[in-house]
Amino acid sequence: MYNFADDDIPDEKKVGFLCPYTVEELIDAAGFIPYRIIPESPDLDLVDAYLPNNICSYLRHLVDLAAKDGLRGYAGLVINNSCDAARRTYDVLKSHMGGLEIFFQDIPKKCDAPAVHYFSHILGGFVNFLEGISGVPLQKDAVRESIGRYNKNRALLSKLFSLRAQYPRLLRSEPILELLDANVRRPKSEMNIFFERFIGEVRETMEESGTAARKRVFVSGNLINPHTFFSIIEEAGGVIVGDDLCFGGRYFTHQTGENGEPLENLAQSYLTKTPCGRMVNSSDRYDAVMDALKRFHAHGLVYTSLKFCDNFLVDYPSLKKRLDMEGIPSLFLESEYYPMGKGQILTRIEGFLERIS
Amino acid sequence: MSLQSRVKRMLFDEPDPKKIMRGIGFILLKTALTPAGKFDLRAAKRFSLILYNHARRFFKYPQKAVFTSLFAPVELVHAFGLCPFSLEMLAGIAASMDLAPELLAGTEKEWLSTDFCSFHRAYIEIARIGLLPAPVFVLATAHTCDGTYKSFSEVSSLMSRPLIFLDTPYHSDRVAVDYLTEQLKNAAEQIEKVTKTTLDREKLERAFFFSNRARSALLEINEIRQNERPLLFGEDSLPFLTIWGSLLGHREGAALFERYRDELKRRSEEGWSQIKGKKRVLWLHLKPFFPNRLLRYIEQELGAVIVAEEINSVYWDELDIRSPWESLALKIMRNYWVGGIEKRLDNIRRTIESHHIDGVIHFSHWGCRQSNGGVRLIRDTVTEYGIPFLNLDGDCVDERSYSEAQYLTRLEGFMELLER
Repeated sequence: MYNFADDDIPDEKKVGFLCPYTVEELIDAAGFIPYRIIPESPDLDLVDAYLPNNICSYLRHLVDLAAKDGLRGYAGLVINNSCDAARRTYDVLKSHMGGLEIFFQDIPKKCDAPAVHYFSHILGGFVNFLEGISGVPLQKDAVRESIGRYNKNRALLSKLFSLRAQYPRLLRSEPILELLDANVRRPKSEMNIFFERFIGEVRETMEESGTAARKRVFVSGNLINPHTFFSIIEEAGGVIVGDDLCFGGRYFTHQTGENGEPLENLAQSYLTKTPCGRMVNSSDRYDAVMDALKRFHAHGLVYTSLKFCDNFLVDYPSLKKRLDMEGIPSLFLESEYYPMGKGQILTRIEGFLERIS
Repeated sequence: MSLQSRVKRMLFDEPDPKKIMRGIGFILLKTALTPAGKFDLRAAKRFSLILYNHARRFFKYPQKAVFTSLFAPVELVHAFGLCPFSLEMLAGIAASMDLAPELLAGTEKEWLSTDFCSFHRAYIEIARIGLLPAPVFVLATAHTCDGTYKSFSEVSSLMSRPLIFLDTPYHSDRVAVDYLTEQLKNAAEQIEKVTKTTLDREKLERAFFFSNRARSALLEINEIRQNERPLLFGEDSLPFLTIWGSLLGHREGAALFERYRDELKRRSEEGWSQIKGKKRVLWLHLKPFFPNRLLRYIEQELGAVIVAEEINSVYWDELDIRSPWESLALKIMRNYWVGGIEKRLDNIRRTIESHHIDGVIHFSHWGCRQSNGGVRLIRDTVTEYGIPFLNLDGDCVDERSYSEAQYLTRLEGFMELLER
């Protein structure tokens, strides 16, 4: 376990965000810390007054946190046009949580040249927002430097994931997830130094340790709380060899051009990365999953989705067809952010692991 | 076995679009032979005839059929001489024929989540089991909801037909308008390629002409309904969306709304006062399409009347043939579901004021995050006027969880508030 307590980050330096399509480079370049909102308790006390219960629990956690004043003091918050529910969440926060500076970042669903142009324009608006809350103009060079830091960070994460696939018993999920959580809450410059050292140490250790065969599971899905799910899979006797969750394997699939116009480069790289379920090319994600399953020698796939997340719930039948054609077993688990009924999930995963033996 | 059960078995056991076409032909004939006096309005008979005829055309000429989403620019489809049909409405029709439970159960077997909107699930299944003719193409926009792209993409893949998709931006500034305008231009080019025809400017102008006529008549209808005496039941005007969802830009759509307008004008001039309901209700979002007596109970037993429906709002400006693509883009972008909720709330405020509304009902369709997510802010807006607000949770298509007695009790409570 690593000590990544974030007490040293003052709230006024934090710009909260929810979705991996948030262009963190701009927040970083403006001198703030992009700080991912991660629900830290399963309790939901106040949200029912603002959002119905058929909105995904991740967004309900956000509103609950805001209603409890949990975001007070943040320099800002970014909400993306990730889905219908995110739009309504923005509306509710804007109306009822005064004092919070919120930027709504539209994202085209397409990824062609006109969409990139439109998204660059949106990012221009984001720059204005950041300049407004910092009171300082954002320099292109600062953005380019930030792009470099983020490119390096993604490359390091990619190496880390490859190592996990190689040595899943030794690189257990919990410490990896802790690193991933820290990575979206701490300065990338600091995390890059840590990852370089960590990967070097792991390589030395791993060469001596080797690994035994276990049931190798790949997890596909969205913003579900991976800590609980991954630990249940490991408890049932599986090992996690990879994932394509929003802040897991799909977080680092792109590199941004470091020359030329930074906003256009960022727009281009974010729109053309391995897509989320909301994008028109969302089925490209299946190709990435099929490729990862082969590369990581996975025996089966667990598909997890937050309840009420239309963009991901609808994808499972199509992905399942692909998996069935290749003879890869899969399990579909729909859940709240904090899964209820751990025993039931464990039983289903145990049954699934028996099937893939 | 009842006739309805036989029809259901025939549709599910041996699905065949031709059988549906013959069935629609039979209903069309029956409607034509029914005296106009049997309908609440003479225009209502015309409405049924036009709708069934349009549906029959859709099944009879699949080489002209196009599946469209609810707010898609159907004028463009009419300009190519094609026949658009809203899949959402098709799901509503299936629900009204009591077919939804079996359709939805079918999607559940195919691993589609029960939390996904039942409109989308129903038409995906209709397409999957072969109840529809394969269309020329499928046309959808992004702003109705997330599910629209996902489900239209699924239908397009099931039927091996191209999907033409318009990505509606959240904002409405110059760059956003240009983004959508460009997509509309490209959509027309894609249709030209798919149909191997060239868009005739005169036909586009005609489609705009009829769309503007329909818009103008609908505006007048909404204005007449501001009248102190209610002239039309909400139960009869809520289905208007089936017309503007498919027939905006077609002669029949314009003629039908004009007929309604003329008849309501006449009623107004003659001092017609057959509707006894005194309390004036604004209905937000959609209604349950399966057989139920919710609206009838409100309007004929409780003494309230729905005098305005959000879905029949005219939110767009006249289409302008001098800049056709931008004009269509603006029509889409002015929709109250595009962007933040302020547009929707402003529309609600305007309607409460213009129609002298005494109370507001929102029907929260289970799978619709777009609409349900805004209920708190809608309630805040309605209470600014000191009038009661009722949110009814339910499902427009899936009757399996419908419990009428519970709804009626809630409506009775709402009525008591209205009368205070």
